[in-house]
Amino acid sequence: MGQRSLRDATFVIKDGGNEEITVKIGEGNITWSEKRTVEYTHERGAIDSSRLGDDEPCDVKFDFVWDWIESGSDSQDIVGAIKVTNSGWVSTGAECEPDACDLELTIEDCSIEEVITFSDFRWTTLDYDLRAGTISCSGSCVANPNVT
Amino acid sequence: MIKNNIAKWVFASVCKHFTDNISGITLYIEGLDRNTYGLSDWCELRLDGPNIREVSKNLLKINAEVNILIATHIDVENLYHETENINKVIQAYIDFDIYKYGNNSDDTGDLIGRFKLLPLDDLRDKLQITRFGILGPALTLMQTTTEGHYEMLVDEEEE
Repeated sequence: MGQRSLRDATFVIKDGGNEEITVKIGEGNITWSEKRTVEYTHERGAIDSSRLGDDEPCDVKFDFVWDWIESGSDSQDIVGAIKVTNSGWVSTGAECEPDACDLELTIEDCSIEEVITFSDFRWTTLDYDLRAGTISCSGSCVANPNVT
Repeated sequence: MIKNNIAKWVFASVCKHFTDNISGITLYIEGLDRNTYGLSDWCELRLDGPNIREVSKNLLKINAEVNILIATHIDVENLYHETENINKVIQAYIDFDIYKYGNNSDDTGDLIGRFKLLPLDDLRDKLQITRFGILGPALTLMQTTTEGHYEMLVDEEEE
């Protein structure tokens, strides 16, 4: 029995091609919420039966160290990866949809490795905190993460 | 592994930076033999830390406190003599780089990162000057301490 933590985790953003960049979480965190909707049918006021409702996107939130936003030495930066605007990056999503990327969280400890993949992540907010030197990103994926 | 040597590299870089940037008053490093005979004023550097914390995988947050004790003999003709000495010291409290200084094969002299003086407006992490005044009725020596808190992030994979 053990407990996994950020010290075991490598967090990578990938595009639809071969590009990827490792995210420095620093003192931040990665959180997500798997969701599903359940609909209940009532019979004269009492719950009679239930069934799964419509799919819901999986909300993901993560923080990372505020390095250069666009002035890094190799023109590959985290914000550009999230927005899929880095040079050479292509979206993982379908054409005509908002640009998306994949998030891959690898947790490795004692030669055991677990990979948690968030497919087609699309950002919705980027919160910049210069005093803390961090940027927080929130967004969602079309499905709950895949764990291998 | 940077963790194996970081204490020495931080200490060596701190000593070099403050030695290079304090002038007009003799600076000693704590732990070295010192002979203050004949000196009216001097100061002595002491380093607390570095404290090392792995905040996420392979990313180390390193912080340390630089403390310099200033000894000033009373100058009856210059009321500002002690504060002039303080000014000579605190101007060195600026951001500076940490290098792999030392005498061993790991000590390549390469740059590790930048030690940043923590913000002055944070009540906990400030450049602090504490004046103790005259040490005793029979002495003409006044002591002052200056303390600054430094911090940097190091990516072990890039080292």
